[in-house]
Amino acid sequence: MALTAENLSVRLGRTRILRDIELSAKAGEITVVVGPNGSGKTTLLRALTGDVPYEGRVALNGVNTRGLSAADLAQLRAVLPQASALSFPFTVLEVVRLGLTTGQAVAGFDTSDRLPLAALRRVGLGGFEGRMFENLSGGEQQRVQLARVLVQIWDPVLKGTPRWLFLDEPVSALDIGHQLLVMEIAKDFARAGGGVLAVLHDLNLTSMIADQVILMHHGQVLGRGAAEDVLRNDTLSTAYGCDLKINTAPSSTKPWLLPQSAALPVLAVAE
Amino acid sequence: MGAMLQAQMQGRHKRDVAGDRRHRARVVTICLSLGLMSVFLLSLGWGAAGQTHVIEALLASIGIGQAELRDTVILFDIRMPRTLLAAAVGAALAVSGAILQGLFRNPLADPGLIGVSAGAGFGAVAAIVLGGLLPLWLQGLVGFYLVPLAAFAGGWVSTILLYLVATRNGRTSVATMLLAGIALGALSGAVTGVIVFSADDDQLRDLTFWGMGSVAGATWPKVWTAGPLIILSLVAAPFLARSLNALALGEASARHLGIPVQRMKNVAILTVACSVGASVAVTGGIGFVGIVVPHLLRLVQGPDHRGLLINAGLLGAVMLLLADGVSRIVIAPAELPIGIVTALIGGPFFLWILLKNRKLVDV
Amino acid sequence: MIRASLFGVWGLLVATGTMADSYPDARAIVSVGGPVTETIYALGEQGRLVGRDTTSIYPPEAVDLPDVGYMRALSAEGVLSLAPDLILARSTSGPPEALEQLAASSVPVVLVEDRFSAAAVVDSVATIGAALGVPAKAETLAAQIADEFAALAGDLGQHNRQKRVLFVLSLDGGRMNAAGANTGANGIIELAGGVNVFADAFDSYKPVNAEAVIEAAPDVIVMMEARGDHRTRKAEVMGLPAVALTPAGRAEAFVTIPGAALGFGPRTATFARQLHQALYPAKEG
Repeated sequence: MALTAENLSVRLGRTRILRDIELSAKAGEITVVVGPNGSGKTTLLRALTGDVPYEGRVALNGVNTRGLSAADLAQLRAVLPQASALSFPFTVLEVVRLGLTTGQAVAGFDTSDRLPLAALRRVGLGGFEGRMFENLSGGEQQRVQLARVLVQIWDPVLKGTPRWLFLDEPVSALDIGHQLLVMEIAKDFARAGGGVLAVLHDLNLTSMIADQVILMHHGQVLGRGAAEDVLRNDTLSTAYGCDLKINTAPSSTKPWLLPQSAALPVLAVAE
Repeated sequence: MGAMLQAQMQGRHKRDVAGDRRHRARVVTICLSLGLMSVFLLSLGWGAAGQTHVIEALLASIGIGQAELRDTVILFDIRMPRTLLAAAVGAALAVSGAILQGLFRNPLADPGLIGVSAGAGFGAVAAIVLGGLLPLWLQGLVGFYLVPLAAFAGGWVSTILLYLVATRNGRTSVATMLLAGIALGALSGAVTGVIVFSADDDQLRDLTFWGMGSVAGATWPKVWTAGPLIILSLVAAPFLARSLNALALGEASARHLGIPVQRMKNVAILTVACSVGASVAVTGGIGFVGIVVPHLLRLVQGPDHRGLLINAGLLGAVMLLLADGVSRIVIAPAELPIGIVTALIGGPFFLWILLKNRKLVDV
Repeated sequence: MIRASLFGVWGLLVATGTMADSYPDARAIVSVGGPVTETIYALGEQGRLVGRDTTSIYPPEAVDLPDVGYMRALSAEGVLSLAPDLILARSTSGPPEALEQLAASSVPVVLVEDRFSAAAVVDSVATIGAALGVPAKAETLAAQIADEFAALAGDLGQHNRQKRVLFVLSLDGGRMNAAGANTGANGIIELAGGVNVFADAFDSYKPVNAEAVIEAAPDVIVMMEARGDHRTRKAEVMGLPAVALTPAGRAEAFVTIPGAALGFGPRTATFARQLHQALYPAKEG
C-alpha cells in the first residue's frame, strides 16, 4: 500500500513548475518533502492532493485518485493546509467537528463530540473547545486545524486500508515544544499503519523523523531515499545554492547541519 | 430577552460541551416558530379595515356560524395571500442571503450580488415599458403576469450568464462572479436606463414603485406562482448546510472534507436564483433582509449553517411581516412600499455591522 | 452656489408673478407641457412654435415639431439648440437646474401655474396670452372656456347623491396607485360632479391599501385610457378581490378618460363633461 506519482507535471501557463516527478511513499512511513523556496515542494503536495491541475498519474493505495469522488478521497486521506482563515466566527469545537463532515473517522460511525475532544487533547489543546477560533494565536490555530484533520481519519487503518495524512508545513508557526508534539503525532500515525507525507522547511527536523526524504530542486526530484543518503553536502549545496555542511548529531548517526557562509563567521561547528 | 434565553439554555443543557452552540440554535428555532405564528396571526387580524370579525370569518370557513362576505374576502383574499407572500419572500431572501454569504465566504454578500436582482429589474422594466408592443393575443394570454414573468426570466438569464462567465474548466471563481456581478448590475442598470428613457409618464410611475418593492399587490395567483418555487428552494437549502460549513475553511479544505464543491456551488446558485427570482418577480426589490437576518442570527447562535439556514427562514419571515405591518399603517390608507421600510431599518443596521466588524469585512 | 440657485428660482418666480411679462415679438417659442401647447394652438399662435416637449401631443400636428424631451427631464442645451427667443413651460417642469440654466441664458422663461381647477385654466390662458402678446385673443378664449365651465356647472348639482370615484393611475400587478388631493384626476373628478374617495386622505398619487379601497366604497373606478385592450384592463381591476367587494365592483362601473384630461388646459371642460356623462349615464337622453 503506497502513494505513488508517475510522470507528474504541473504547468502554470507555459512554464512547468513540476517536471516528470516519480515518487513512491509507503504506508507506515513518514515521507518528507524538502527543498528551497520555489523548488516546487508545496506545488508537489497540492498536485498530489488534486488542488492544482496536473498531468500524469497519482495513485493512493493503488487506485488512481482521478477516479475517486471527493467523498471517497475524504475517507482515504486528510489534508492540513498551510494556513486557513475562517470566514465566520466558529468556536474551536465547531472547527474540529468539521472533520466529521463526511466519511468515517473510525470503524463504526461515531459522530459524537468524543473524537473532536480527544483530538484537541492530542494536540495539547484540551479545554480550548469553547474558545473562538479567531481569537487564538497562529500556532494554536494551526494545532486546531491539525486536530480537525486527525478527526477526519482518526483510525490510521480502516478495514485493512491505510489512510493518509498530508501535512503542508505543519510546524511553521509552532514553538519547539509543539514542533516535537506534532512530529510525535505524525510518527504515531505512521507507526499505527497510516501514511504521512509532509512538506517541511527545517532540515534537522526532517532528518530526525523522515523515513524517506524527497529533495526538490527546480521542479524536479534531486534525490530521494533515507535522510543520510539525501541530506549530503553536495546535494544540499546544489539545491539551496549555498555552502552547507553536514555533521552528525550527538548520540545519533542522523545528519545534522549548520549553515555556513563565506561572508559570515560560523559560530559553533562541531567538527 | 437575550438574558432569559441564555439562562434557559444553560439551565436545560448542563451536560453540553463548551463551544457547542447547537442547542442555542434549537432554542432560537422554537422562539422564532412561536414568534412567526403570533406575527402571522397578528398580520391576519391587523389592517386598514379594522380588527374585528376575523375570528368569525375564520370560524365560518370551517362551518361554524356565519360571516359577512366582506369579512371573508378581507381575510381570505386580501390579508391571507399578502401575509403568506410576505412570509415566503422574507424567508426566501434571508435564506438566500445566508447561502450566498456561506458560498462567497463573506458576511456581506447579498442576492443583489449575483445579478438576480439586477436581471429581474431589467426584465420588469422591459416588460412595463415595452410590454405594450407585444401582439395583443400575447398580452391577453399573459395578462398582468407579464411583469413578474419577465422579471423571473431576467433574473435567471443574468444569473446563468454570470455563472458561465465566472466558470472556467469546471471551476467557478467566486471573486470573478462578484466582480462580474457588479459589472452586470451596472450594465443592466444602463440598459434599463435606456429603456426608461423611452417610457411615458405613467409607465415611469410604475417603474418607480416596482423598484421600491411591495407586497401590497399580493393575490392568490401570485402566491401560487411564486410560492412553489420559494418552498422548493427553502426545502433544498438545509441540505447545503454541511457543505457551507466546510466551505468556511476554503474551497480546497471543503473538497478534502469530502464535499463535491463544484456540484454544491451549482445547487446553491440554482436555489438562490430560483427563490430570489420568484420573490423579486412578485414583489420587486426588497433590500437588506438577506444581510441583516443571517448576521443577527450568527451573533446569537454562531455560524453553523445547519441551524442558521432554518432560523434565517423563520426570522426573515417574521421581519418581513413586521415591516409589512409598518408599511400598512404608517400612512394609511396609502401605503409605504415595504422596500422603503426595510431599507430605512436595514441601511443603518448594515452600517452598524460594517463598523462593528471591520475585521470581518477587510479581506 | 446655493445663493445663486436661490436667486435663479427667485427670478423665475418674479417672471410668473408679474402677469405683465409680454413678448409679442417672440417668433421662436419652445412650449413645454401638453396644456401649454394646446393653449397656444387654441390661440392660433402655433406658427411661432419651434419646439415642444414629449407630453405635447395634441393637436396631432404638434407632434411634427422637434421634441426637446420629457418635461420633467429637460436639458438646457437641447432646448437652446432650437435657438428659442421664448420658453413657455408648466410650472412643474424640471429639473430646476435646467430651468435655472435657461433663465441664465437670457432666454425669457415664462412658467404657467399648474393647478387643477376651472379658474386655473382661465388664469393660464391669460398668462400665455399675455406672454405671446395676444391679450385680446386670450380674453376671448378665456371667456369661452369660462362659459363652458359655467354650462357644465349648471348641468351638475341635480343629483341626490354624488358618485364616489376611485381614480387608479396604475395597476402594477394588483398594486393600485390611487389619486389623492392636488392631482389632475382629483380636479377632473370634482369638475365632473364626483367625489374623489381619497381626496381627504393624502396628496398626489400613492399606492393604496386594498382594505382601504373596500372602506372607501367607490361607486365608480376611473382609469386612464391606455394602449392595451380596454376590456383586459377592466377585467384586471374588477378581478381584484378588494375592488370586487365595492359598489363599483358589484356594478362593474368602470370608466376610462384620456390621459390628457389629467393636465388642465383648453379641453378640460369637455373632458369633465364626458366624465360626468360616464359617471351619471342615466341622465343621458
